[in-house]
Amino acid sequence: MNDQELVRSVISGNEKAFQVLVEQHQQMVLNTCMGLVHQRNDAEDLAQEVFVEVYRSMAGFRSDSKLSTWIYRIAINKSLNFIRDNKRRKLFRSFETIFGQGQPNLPSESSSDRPDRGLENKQRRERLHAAIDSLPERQRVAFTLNKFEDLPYQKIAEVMGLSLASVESLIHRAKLNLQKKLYKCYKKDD
Amino acid sequence: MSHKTIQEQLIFFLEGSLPDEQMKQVAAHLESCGSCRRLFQELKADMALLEDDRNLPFDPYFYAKVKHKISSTRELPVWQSKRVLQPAFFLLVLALGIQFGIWVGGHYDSPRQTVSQEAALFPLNDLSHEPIELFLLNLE
Ligand SMILES: [Zn+2]
Repeated sequence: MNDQELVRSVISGNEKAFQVLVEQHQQMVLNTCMGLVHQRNDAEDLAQEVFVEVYRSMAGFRSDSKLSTWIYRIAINKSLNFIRDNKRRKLFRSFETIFGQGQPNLPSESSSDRPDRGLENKQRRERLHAAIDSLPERQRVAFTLNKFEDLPYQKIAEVMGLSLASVESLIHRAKLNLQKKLYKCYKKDD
Repeated sequence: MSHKTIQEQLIFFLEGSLPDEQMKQVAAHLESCGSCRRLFQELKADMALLEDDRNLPFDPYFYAKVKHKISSTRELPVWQSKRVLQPAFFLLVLALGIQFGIWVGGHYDSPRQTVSQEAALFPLNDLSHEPIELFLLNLE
């Protein structure tokens, strides 16, 4: 079944066709969400919601783009919205702390005196995620699609609605910025 | 090449995307320079972690969960959906806020002549805590 047949089949109410669609795209959706939100539980939850939306807006799918391109866009939008909402929630939680309600956001336990491997990796990962998260949004999306999904630049350009040259430049800048941010952390650790 | 130039190329060296000649130059520099080598090792360890987040083992119940989400939210009437409820709630808070503002304005107007210079500078001082706490309380 090609994209068009699959979509037509889902719209006509064929459950099996929807299951095929989910199974064909679930890994790429999970990778994309994971690359942007970093937490497995959140990424899985988001991935499920991506397919709920795919199911609901199936009729709005335009066959002039590939099905995967359309699904990538939904996954990116959902993840970015989740990140924005999360930031808002954190802001309100810090308000609560200021006004004397709720628990203060304590920094995660220091591990400098307990140099075991798991903890070191955990810190390393947090630092890396923070560096990725601090990239401008479009650089972050392009970098994620490239690193987590191994997508060729041409496909990233399609998904993001940009020219190939813009995507090349975004990814190049993303890597330079990420490198710079990480170097700063290494120097701080000295 | 300077340390700075080398350090700017390390992320590309790591993925092997530099032209051959530059690959060789960076490799030679790393052989002889401890501080650039340390940065490279750190960067390599960090970027390797990205691999762990890729292609996670898949939840076998994934499709079932998607189906469940679709069927459990389908019957929800429009007025119960978050998209309608949340803006309505914020609108209510806003309306209450405006009402409160008008109330404060009305009550403040009459004793104006008797307030001291200092109190006039901070007219809403005593009341300013209440609405924001109320707002935050309502929010959670
Ligand atoms: Zn050097």
